Amino acid sequence: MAENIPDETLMLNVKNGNLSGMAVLFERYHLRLFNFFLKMGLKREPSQDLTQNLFYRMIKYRHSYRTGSSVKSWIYQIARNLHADYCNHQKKDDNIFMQTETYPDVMADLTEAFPEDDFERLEKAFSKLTSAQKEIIVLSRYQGLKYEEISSMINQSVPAIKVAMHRAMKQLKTIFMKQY
Amino acid sequence: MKCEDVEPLMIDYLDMNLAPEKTGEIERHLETCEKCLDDLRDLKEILQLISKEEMKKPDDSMRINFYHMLHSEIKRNETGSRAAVKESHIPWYGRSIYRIAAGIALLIAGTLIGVVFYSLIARSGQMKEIAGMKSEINSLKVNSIFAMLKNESSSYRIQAVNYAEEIDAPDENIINALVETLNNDKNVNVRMTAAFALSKFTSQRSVCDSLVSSLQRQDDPILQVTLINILVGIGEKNAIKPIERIISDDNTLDEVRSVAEKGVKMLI
Repeated sequence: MAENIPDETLMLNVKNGNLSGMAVLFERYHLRLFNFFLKMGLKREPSQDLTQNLFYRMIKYRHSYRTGSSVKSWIYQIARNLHADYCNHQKKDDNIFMQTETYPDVMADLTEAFPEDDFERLEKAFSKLTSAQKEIIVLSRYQGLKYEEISSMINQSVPAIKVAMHRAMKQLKTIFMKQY
Repeated sequence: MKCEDVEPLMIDYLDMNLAPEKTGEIERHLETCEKCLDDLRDLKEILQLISKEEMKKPDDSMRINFYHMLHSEIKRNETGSRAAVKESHIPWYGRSIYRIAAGIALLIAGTLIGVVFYSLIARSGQMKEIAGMKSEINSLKVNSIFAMLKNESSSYRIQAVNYAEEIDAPDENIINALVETLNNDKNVNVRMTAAFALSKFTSQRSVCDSLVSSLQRQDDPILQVTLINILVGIGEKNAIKPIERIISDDNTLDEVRSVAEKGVKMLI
């Protein structure tokens, strides 16, 4: 057990029926994935549920993992799908909710008046981005994925992703600086 | 270089991902362009903030739920009883509300059934007969356990461990067989199932000791993680030393080490 077992070897074992390899993958990825869902704007509880479901899906769909391909990309692909599914369901619920919601958001105005720390300001600015903008910043900067890895997931060329990244950061910067 | 050429390259420039001549061109532009320099400073500030932000920790229940789920999937996989699990069953693993609700429902149902049965049986004096049947089933199970543990097929051995786990008060022989399996079975899934089975009998002092000494001989990362989680879960202080030895062992996998470090903190 001298060296780190690569994700791909573990996943191949899992695919071949040695499910216990999932324990190592869980320890490697669960914290990052939980934070992925949080950064995409979900609350703690759904973020935990989705992380849990993600590992369940990995076991259930282990045969669809293409041997040799990047496990990390595969995991984040599942994460993106789970997030999209969740948001679609949520939208339906929100539509019902919006019709009954008539109170103005007084609390939001109140808290805006108080000084916050930089992280909170960044979070607030971040929350105003579109889902696609959030995603690219989360994957690249928070989760530390390479442009090539994101490219294989989103099905766009690396230059196209760099342009999208640049625009997303510019938007974030504009909102963030306005808050001063 | 003009401003519109420099702007899209700023992230790569700050990440130092550019060729030297491109870097030089950008720096020459920055010497004369106040606006781009300001933009670059702002961008740098945000990127630094992002990289400094710490990850938030999930509840401990997430790890426990995961290991429960994995355990039952391994069981299902090895025993071949492919009872189709639909995605809709996930809430059982994931959503605590459902689990609590189901737990309460089971509790109520169990109590009701218990009360009805008890009153029926106690009156008709069949109590002894039922108890006799139960012990007969138990001894049948016990006999098959020893035979099945010797079977070549790992799924049989896992089934045997599962039988052992269902016995109310397993005797010394069964415990020893489980410990033997945990330490020496050649299949990692069988060993892991044995670890989980033994974790149900940690009210017995000897089981705790066996788990601690097993931790010292396991070199499979999965079993190390499983045993650490079990021992930390029951607050076994004797596990501190072997866990510390795992932390200081150069051959230990990083993932195992981080679990071990967290575990020691919870035990001390």
